[in-house]
Amino acid sequence: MKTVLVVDDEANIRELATLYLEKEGYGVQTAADGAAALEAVRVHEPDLIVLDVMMPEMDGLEVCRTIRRGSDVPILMLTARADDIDKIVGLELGADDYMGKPFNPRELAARVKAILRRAEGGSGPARSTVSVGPLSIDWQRREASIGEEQLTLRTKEFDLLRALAEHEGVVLTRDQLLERVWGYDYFGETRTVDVHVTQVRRKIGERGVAIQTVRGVGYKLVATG
Amino acid sequence: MRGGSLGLRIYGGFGVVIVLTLGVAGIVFFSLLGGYRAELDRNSLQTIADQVLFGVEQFRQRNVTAVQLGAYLQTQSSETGALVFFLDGDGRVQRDLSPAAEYEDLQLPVKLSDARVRPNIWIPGDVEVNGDELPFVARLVLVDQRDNGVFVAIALPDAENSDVVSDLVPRLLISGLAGLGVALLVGLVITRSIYNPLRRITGAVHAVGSGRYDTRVPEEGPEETRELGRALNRMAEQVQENEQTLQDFMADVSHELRTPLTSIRGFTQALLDGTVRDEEQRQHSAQVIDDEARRMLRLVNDLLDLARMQAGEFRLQREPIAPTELLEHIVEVFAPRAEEAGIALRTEVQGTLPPVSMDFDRMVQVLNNLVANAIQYTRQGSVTLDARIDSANVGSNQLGGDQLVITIADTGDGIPPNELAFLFERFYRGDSTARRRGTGLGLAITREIARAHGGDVDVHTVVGEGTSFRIAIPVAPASEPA
Repeated sequence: MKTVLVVDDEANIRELATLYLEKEGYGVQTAADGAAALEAVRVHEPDLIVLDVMMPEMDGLEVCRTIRRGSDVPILMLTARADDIDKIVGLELGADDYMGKPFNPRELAARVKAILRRAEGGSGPARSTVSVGPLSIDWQRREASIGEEQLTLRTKEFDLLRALAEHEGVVLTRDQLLERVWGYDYFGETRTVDVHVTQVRRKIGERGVAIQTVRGVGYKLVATG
Repeated sequence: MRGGSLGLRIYGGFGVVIVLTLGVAGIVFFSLLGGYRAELDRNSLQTIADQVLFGVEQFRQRNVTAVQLGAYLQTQSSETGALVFFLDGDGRVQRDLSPAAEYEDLQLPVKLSDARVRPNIWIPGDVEVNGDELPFVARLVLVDQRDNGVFVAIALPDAENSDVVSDLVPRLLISGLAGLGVALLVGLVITRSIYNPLRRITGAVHAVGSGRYDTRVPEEGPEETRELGRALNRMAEQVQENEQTLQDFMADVSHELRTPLTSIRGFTQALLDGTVRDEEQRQHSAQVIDDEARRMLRLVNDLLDLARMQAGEFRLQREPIAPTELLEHIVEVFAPRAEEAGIALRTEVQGTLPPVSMDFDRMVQVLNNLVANAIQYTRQGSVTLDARIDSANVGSNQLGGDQLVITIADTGDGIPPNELAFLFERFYRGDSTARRRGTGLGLAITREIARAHGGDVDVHTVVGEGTSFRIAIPVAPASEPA
């Protein structure tokens, strides 16, 4: 059984994450602050850490850096502050993924599963990449390319393509995409998804990978090579 | 003069000053020159006249005739260039002895018949000829055999004078133009040293105005523009700081709202999708949702309160309140919670205190905040409320005079010195506590309320021994801000 360490100073959020991760069959340890988190990493050697950024004393960014000095364990950051996302992405902190608060706990469990799956495949920086056919995406560098050629994508276009690529061959509904890309707290038209899909399709062209429409359901990304 | 650029004004100003200077200098110069010329003329006239007279004296000794004298004087006139006239006793020209001989019959304003009395003096005078003042000297030169006086007048023609003027005017104009050119060059340099920093400062002000708060100008140029540059840089820094504070505040608000929202939506979903199943878990989830919803509501209320206070949009409803009444109210409210926490909550009021003008509800809000904090951060021991009339300085307000000072002292862990400075800031909560129950706005609101009363609040703490907050409210309501 894989073990996940959940670090957050909010008891309710620890409890919530625990509920959903245990439901997915993970063993869950919790820690309420940075020091306890480092101790728990040492004692329990978790397979993945869910780490909140804003905590008293030692914040999540520092905890992440400290863990990275001695361990390669996958880390999923949680943050309620929009400006933290820049720090997570920009500082090459070594985090494997991040989610903004409020987050959908089911999505959290799904991300944890995806990261663990990727972690089994390889190790090191390769974990931040996903590929479908000739398409490869590195979310930490925010780069997407087909073969050798870089794609020029806007933020939402990138996130959309990444979401589809992480679920290769699986249909994602417009609502799922909206929540995943635009956020759990986004209230907008599902039509937004269609408009962005059109844009991304135009940029991909016909080069061995395609976003297919599944009528009445949503979209999926497949290799067509 | 309202419009026009500074550069134009400086140039224009230079131009006006130069033209005025040249004009005044020219006028003064010519009037002085006129006087000087007249004096010169008179001197040379006198010299010529004395020379003529000397010749005449020679003739007199040889008993010459008037005709011979006339011929002599004609020679003198053509040699010296002076005008020489024979006059009658009333000053009328009898004969013009000059080569041109153009002034026959000219009336000179001089009466010479009297001159016989003192015949040895040249009598000076001026006659107007063709609009020019023509200076002359006249005298009796000899008396003939028939005892008739022979009168002679000598004058210098005016031509030389106008020559000098027409000579000088173009020179003066040239020197004026040269002066103007140099002045404009100097003006350009001066304008640049004033105008360029000003233009840079104007550009920077526009930049700050359109949101580029990191704009700074070099502090250069004359003292005034350097000062202006310094002032602008200070302002830009301040604006940038405020902007940063606002950004941080927005991020904090976002964080403080999203955190309970995460729990509310998460547990709602857990209820909806059946992740929580048994009755006990469902109860617990509902309780979490309720608690977090209250927390959000409290935060929204506190934010609105603070916003209103800082916008100056809230009015105190003052009435005379006995401090003991206030403290008793608080103790009554908190007694159960203190008992539950195993902490002694008591008041220590010495004697009777006079009523002080306060807003009861707002003061209760302040004390609720401080007492709740004190109980929360005290593991064992006591929380003591004290009220007295004092003149101590509390906070940054140098109040002076009598104040009601209420002290809330606990025997908790104390506050680390590095946290004291931020204690009253919005959303600051001591890092050293894992218990985060409040909204992070309580102390900021407390300070706003104390200040609205014309007072202030401060804190003294000893790590490991305890913390005491003091609120001071001036007793004399006159010292409060209206």
